[in-house]
Amino acid sequence: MLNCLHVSASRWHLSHHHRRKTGFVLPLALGTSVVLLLGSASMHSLALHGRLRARIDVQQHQRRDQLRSAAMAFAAQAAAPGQDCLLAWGASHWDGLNRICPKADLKALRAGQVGETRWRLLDWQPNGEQAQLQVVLVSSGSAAQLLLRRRDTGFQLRQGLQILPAVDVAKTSPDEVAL
Amino acid sequence: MTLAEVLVAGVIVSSSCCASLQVWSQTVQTTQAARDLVQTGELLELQWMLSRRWLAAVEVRCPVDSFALEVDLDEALPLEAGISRRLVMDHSLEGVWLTLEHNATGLLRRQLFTAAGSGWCRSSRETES
Repeated sequence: MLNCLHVSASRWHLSHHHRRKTGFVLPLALGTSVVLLLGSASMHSLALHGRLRARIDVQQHQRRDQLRSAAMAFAAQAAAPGQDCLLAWGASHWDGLNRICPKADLKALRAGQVGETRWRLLDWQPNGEQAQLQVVLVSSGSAAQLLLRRRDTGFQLRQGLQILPAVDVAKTSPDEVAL
Repeated sequence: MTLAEVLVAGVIVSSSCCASLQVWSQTVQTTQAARDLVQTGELLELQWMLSRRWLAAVEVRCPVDSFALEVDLDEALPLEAGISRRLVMDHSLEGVWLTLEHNATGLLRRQLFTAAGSGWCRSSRETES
């Protein structure tokens, strides 16, 4: 009886050892494959992320150019005869100045087109010899704040531009989008 | 360890090696493209800043002559190879469009400079008055 138990135990041990010995190649191969594929996939995703970041940088530069173009267009409209009357006041007062400033072109100051891009005025705040301008691009909702300096020829843009949070132009003025 | 097991393991490892190599080759291409884009962007940005500063500092008389301005700009700031620059008149807003383009990639920078926004025409006004 004891011998019988001993023999069966030895057989079980041998078969278990044999199973363990035959099973190590496939898990090793699978493990190696997983490491290889995961490693290369993660490096590829890093490379894609780098390219995306480079593209975003380029687009940001181009958006800044568009915003500065819009500000330049505003400055050109602001230099037209009669506009000084409005520009001495903040944009929130303009609606009530129609009678005092009959020669001023309110529409030209509030919105316009520069190249293929439509822009809209968000705010205008004069402050002595300087003024603060906020414009938004209708197509993208990108907005920026710029400083201008009063000259005898009108308002000149100063260096620098502060990007503002994107504006939902459709919500603020649906008529403008429809144009 | 049986022959079948070794064969299956070999197929798995070789397939994953092949796939991994392809992904690595794409990774190298993507990294190179990103590096090229960054370098081109930096090169264009440098030329852009120089051109903008020149335009901000120059005395321009009105009416603005974009051709004369472009000749002066090219003399003052010769461009690096592979980049083209144009100054095109915008009559409706009395200004010029400055365009810088990287010829190989088509990367573009473009901005309007109006006489009023750039502080040009001061000398002409003074002369008139």
